[in-house]
Amino acid sequence: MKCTYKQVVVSLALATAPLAAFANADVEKLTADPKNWAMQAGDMYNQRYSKLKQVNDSNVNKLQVAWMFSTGVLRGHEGSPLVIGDMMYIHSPFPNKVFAMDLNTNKIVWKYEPKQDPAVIPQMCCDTVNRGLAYGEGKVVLQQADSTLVALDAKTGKVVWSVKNGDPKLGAVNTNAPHIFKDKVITGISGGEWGVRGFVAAYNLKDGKMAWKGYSTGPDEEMLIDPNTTTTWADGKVQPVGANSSLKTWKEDQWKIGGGTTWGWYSYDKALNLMYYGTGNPSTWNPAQRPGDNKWSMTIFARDVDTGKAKWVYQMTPYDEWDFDGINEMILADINVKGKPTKALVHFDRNGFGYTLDRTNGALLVAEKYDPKVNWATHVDMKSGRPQVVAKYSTAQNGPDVNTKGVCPAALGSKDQQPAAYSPDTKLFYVPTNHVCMDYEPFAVEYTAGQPYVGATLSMYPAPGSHGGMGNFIAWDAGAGKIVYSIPEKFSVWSGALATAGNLVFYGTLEGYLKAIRKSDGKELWKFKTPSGIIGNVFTYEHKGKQYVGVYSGIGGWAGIGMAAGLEKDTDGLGAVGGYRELNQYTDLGGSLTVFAIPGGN
Amino acid sequence: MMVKRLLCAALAAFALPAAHANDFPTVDRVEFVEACMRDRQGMRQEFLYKCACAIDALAAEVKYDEYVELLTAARAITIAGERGAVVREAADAQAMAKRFRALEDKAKKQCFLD
Repeated sequence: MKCTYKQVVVSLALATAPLAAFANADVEKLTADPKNWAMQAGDMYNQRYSKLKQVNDSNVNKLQVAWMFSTGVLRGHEGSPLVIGDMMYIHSPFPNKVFAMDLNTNKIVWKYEPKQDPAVIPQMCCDTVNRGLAYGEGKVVLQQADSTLVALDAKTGKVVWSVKNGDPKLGAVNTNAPHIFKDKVITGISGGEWGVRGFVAAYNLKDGKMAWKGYSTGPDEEMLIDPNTTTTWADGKVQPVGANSSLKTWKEDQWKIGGGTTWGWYSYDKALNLMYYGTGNPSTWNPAQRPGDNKWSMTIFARDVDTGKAKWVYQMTPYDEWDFDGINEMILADINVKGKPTKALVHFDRNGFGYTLDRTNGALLVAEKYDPKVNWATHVDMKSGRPQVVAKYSTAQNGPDVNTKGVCPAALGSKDQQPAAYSPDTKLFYVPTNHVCMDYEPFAVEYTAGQPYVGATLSMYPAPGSHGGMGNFIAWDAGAGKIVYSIPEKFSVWSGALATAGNLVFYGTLEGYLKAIRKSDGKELWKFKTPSGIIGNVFTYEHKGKQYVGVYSGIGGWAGIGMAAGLEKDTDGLGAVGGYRELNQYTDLGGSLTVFAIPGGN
Repeated sequence: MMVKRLLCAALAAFALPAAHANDFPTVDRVEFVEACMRDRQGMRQEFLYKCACAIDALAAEVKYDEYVELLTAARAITIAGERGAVVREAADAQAMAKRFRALEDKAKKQCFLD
């Protein structure tokens, strides 16, 4: 393969500097320059906001396809590429290929394709997606499906280190993007539907050695919880969780196979030295088998990045009865909450409530429905922090083998992992949502290691008595807990949003449209139909003075899947634009990256 | 006669959008023809005619926005996992996928594509 790498980002040469604090400074510097897209969310606050405004509300309708790239992989494409200087790092779903592209030539400088046992595929509940790469200190970090975490040399693609993060034979697989905070690579685990016991682990970016690991459930010391100093919201105030806060909320040893997996988007506040993430559903989906609050599943965690120690926890859905995973992204923003300037954490949970907490101590400030159709709870009691469950929608009260009907939202939530954006210009959040309800019938299920451990039958339908569509795209005021505007969508919106200083918000749809709306009022200004449905996240960068906007398309469902063989053959041609031309004719089948810009000089 | 003329106008107006929607962008027609030809190896020219015939037949039958919706449903119900289930379970997505396949079959039959 011809290498035309030009070392433009000179600072990368300093990668060998041994200072522990260096990595954070490196990533911090890269994310401060809006020309880069150096983290999956653009920054450590998970804001998905860009200061670039060359493309704006007056010219966005002139966007055209600048170039395309086909990954040659036929599964759902989530996350987005990273852009560091003149280099773009592109990833694919299983088999988790990585391509490093020189943006000056659009040529591939190196390609990495791990060898993974295909037996991992049936161990993945929800398609073989991968939510993207992390970059820091001259390393590109990939979290493979088979749970291997690998750091590649950003210049050569050679493996620097590699560690095993879980046991895929037991269903412990990975779909999440790794996150680099300070000198650590933070990653989680998937497999809540396999009875995997969730955790978050930190590995040293330098050598891949594990620094700490904090479980979601179990004994205090394994969760890195200090009963006296780790706090939670209870009785209207922040107070210590006390001893055995998890163990006493589970029947017997159920916590060992209790879920609480961690496959979302994490954020980091440098000033507080805290990282934030959410834990998923307790296993199984049949609540009758796991009486108790099932702590700390369905929980927002704040952990010290150096030690992993839990600073505070807040459980959103105690004793889950609907599979409302709590893993969705934690967005950090400094906003006015009920008129008071606040260091806030904002989270749009699957359970349909938009939460605003004080991120310094976990105090609950706002919890309101971000879809008016949410009906399983009347409201969240602000004193106890607990949702007030409506009896007729309680699958636990109705019991196993009873079909509980008309629960809103459905198990996939009012929103799944697809991340929202925050704009510091408007102080509003832009949220891709589902508008789907369900009937839920739990049944008894026995745990077998390495087998699905679900225990409920569901049927789903668009929210009744509404616009008939399965989604909305909303603007949300997290200080007041109110919807500012709502755009109905025929299908659920499963793409991550991007807000820009050009008074724009971008998001993708299942039809394959990339849409640009005016941030201030939601008016649609432009749309373009990409080759397949979009479940990836929109990103933007600047190269040689021009702003680009890009997104993956590829939903994981194709009628013409028979073409896969042909695609495999043609991957030999990868490595030059010529090779891509050949592949490009298949872009309606495989996943592809479409990059837009406005033609002509700037 | 006034009544007769009115009736004619009404009939013409009613007949027009259904039979001659024909609002498909060039991109979608080319995309369809390319994919259709790729699925049928050999005899390029023959399948250029047949595939172009089929997309024109489809475009005459259904409005573009509806075509996009139906196609999206037909593709999305094959997604693996929970998200696919959402689309599969939503009753009208199944119906949309079915209607898409029926429209496609009808168009193919009109063009010796089977």
